[in-house]
Amino acid sequence: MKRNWQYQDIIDLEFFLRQDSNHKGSVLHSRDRQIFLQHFELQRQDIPVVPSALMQLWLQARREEHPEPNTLPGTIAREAHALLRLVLIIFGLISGGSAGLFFFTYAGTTPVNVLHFLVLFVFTQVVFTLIILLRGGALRLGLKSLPPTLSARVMAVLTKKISSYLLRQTHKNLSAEQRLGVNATLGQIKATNATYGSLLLWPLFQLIQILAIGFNVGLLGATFLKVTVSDIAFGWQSTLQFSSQSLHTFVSWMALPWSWLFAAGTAYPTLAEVEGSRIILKEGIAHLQTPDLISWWPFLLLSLIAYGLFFRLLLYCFGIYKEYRSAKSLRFDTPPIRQITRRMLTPVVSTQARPEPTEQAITQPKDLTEEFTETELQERSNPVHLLLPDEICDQCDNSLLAGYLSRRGLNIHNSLRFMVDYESDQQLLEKLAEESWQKSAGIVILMEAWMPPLVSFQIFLKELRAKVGKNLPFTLLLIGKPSPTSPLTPVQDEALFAIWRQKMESLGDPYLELDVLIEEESE
Amino acid sequence: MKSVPIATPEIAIIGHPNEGKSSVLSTLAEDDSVRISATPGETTECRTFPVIIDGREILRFTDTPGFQNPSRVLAEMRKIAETSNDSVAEFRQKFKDVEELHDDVELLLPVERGAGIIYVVDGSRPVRNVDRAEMEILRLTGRPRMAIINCKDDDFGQLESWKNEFRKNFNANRVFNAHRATYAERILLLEALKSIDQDWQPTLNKVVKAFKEDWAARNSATVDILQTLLTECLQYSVSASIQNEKDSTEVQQRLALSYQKTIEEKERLAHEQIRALFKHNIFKYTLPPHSILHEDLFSEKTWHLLGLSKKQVALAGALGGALVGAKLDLLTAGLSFGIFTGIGGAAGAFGALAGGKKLSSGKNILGIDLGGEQIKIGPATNISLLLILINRALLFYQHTINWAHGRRDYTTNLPEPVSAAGSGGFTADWSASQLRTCKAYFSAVTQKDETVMLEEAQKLSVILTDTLAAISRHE
Repeated sequence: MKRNWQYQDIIDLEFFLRQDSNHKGSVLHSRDRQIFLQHFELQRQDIPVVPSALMQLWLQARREEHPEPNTLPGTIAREAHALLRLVLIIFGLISGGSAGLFFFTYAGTTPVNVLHFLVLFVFTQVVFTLIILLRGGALRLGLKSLPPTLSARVMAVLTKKISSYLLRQTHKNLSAEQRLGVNATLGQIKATNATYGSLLLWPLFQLIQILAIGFNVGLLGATFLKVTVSDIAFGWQSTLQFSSQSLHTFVSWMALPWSWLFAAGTAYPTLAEVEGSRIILKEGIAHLQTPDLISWWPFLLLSLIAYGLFFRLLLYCFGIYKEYRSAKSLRFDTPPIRQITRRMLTPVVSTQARPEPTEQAITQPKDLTEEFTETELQERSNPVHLLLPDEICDQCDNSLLAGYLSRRGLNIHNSLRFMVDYESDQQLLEKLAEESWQKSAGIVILMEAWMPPLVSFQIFLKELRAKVGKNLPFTLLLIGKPSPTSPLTPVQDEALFAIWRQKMESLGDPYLELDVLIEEESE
Repeated sequence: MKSVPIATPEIAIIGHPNEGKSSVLSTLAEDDSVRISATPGETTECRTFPVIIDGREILRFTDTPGFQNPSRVLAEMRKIAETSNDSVAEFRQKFKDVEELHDDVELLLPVERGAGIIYVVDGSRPVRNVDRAEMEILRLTGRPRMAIINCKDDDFGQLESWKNEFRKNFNANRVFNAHRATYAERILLLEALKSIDQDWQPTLNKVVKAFKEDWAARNSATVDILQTLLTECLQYSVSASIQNEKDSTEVQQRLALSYQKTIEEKERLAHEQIRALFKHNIFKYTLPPHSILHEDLFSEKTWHLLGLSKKQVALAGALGGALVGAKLDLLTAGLSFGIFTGIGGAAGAFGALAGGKKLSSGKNILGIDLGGEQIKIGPATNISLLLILINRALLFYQHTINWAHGRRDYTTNLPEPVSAAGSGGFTADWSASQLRTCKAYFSAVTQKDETVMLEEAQKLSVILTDTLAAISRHE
């Protein structure tokens, strides 16, 4: 129960949320309430109001009732992840080992140039690690991204151009239905990324570190093996005329992390040994002394351990820590999750009479307020701004509308007219940008489902989002064709609702929720 | 508004997404390759459908994407109109690279070229601000324009409110009828288009004339196909030798099956030829699921519904008995049974087909000539076969020329002139003299009397041509 959230939990959670989007609210309400009651009647614990804990309970129950838990996407992802980790470890070991063995095959006629080894296997790793650290540090300092270099900028522009060209070309060959599906999927990915982004990123980061750890272990093993079973001479040479003294100083600096641990001469070669292992091409190696030529190997192994293996282990642990932190900081406040917690905490009320949109029906939730707990009541006083299309604004029965919204635990703070024309919508956006949203439960927008969702409405939502902040919930409620007496009718056409859902999903806004205003209770 | 002069008049079909623009266009252009779906936003690029007469393009229709940002386009165009004479061209130039305005910029392309406008709306839904914005945009273009109200789902509840809006902004408006045959609806739409711009009248007259002639030629070809089918089927016969009477039942059944298969195949080919005349753009053409045409040609239901009605049998007996030489009892024989129903048992039915020989006649049993150890089925003796073939071909024709069925955006079914209770199909309404022609033709064909056959075929051809024309005008 207290287990921290992991990526596989998020995958399953999203999977169940998608499943739920095809079911009616009343069915989901009784199920989720049941989950809540079953647990808390058995445990008799205090009711947790933390959404994270409630969601864990919910997820656990949903997993248990799933006919084949092994086929859940989260389980599959976890197994695939474990398999991938194993494959990467083996691949890392083999590639590191092969690289080591391949490198040392040069030995024999000339000594192995230690500078080659350092450049190839140690310095490159240090550079990579530094890039990661610097980038992370820069992001921490508040930079959104590192100042892009010219090449990075060219690459970014090219990628954007090519991908938008490809997308457009693909779109031309797709039917409207397929296009809608593709855009909705892209939007879902965007929304998921916006909600859980870093939690899903860190496991991948860890995998990369695992690969690097495997590589270093393989390389260490191969180097050690070669040193043990064959006679390898190590020397150094450079066209740049730096002295043995400089190299010795550099090497002693490099060895600082471990030189305190070993006796002098073991942690790194002495000046005499450095001098003695210098190769000068025209002189050959015949005059070089064996002890000097073999003095380098402990230093090489130790630099690989310190700058390769140890750094990677550190980064791996950092990845685990970051994953834990991002799981801890999950907000669990997106509309679908808020709906679940609301359903779990709200008693299911059933009425005998068919709920016509009448005064009597909508007053029922009000009558039941005494039964709600403190938390639920808090939920029930959530002020929202309501946006009403111009055409139905004047015909809407406000008390009826308030009743429908109170069933969702929302109450109207301010009712606004929109979609009169372009200019007035722009003015409205400016007005909303100036409002304070601290205590608001969000914005509810009423739309007519039978009008196809236009690009202009999507743009309006995007602009609205930009004005009011990324975490303010938007609830888009759909109504059907107006009847002679009221514009507030249930949505009759399931296909239209599906189109609306896909269009809205394509926005990739995790805090945008779509539902019908009036649920038909046909069952 | 300054418009770029173009050699060929162009008419752009414009409207809100998912209102039936493409349906109207496919009716006007008789092109079923127009991509139509219930999902809005199917059309994203303009597509032009030229009307080519004798190798010369004289008119073109252009399908356009639906408006996606009507309010914003109107606001921008109003701003532009303050300083410019050609707000459409200016607007398109200014916003050509704005991704979210892509569809709006694209749909105004033909208007910039100087096209006339057909504005399509769904008359089953109320008028909204976005619609008013669209109408105002079109008014600002200054192009001749007509509104077409397409009442989806046969819901005419909002028709009047739409018409009121149209009176303010359009030169003309008319209701699009998805149930009328494509041909008839197209001619009516073209005739209506004449009223929005006088300059178009000569061109449209030419187009209407060409369409009418083309249609008449196709109908005439249909009559030819049908008459060839009738002659071949009515004259067709199969025969086989038998060794003894024990064999006869088995051979009869084999022959009957072969006869049935051949006739059915001939009919299928004829229908295929008719389809090719009208639906050249559709390769996988399917009939509506409810059609009686899904019944086998020789099924009891087909014969019951598409053969002679009881009234006609009596009429035929009284009027043409002497002329045809058929007797009333023979005519009634195939009325309520498929001819091969209960073969061997339904002697009457089988006898009727195979030559009308009586059971009592010495060497013929069930109309099968046993004399020369030969068994033979055909030529047909029951005039119902003639009428059934005609009725089925006419039904097929009716479905083929009417595009409303099978479309994803129209769920309504085309009523067939056949009900479960009644019978007779199209020929049920034929007059006594028309039926007499049928009988004369029938007996001339079955008796292979070439002189009479030519004469009667001519008369039947007139009747069939008239019937096809009537179906084409059907509403």
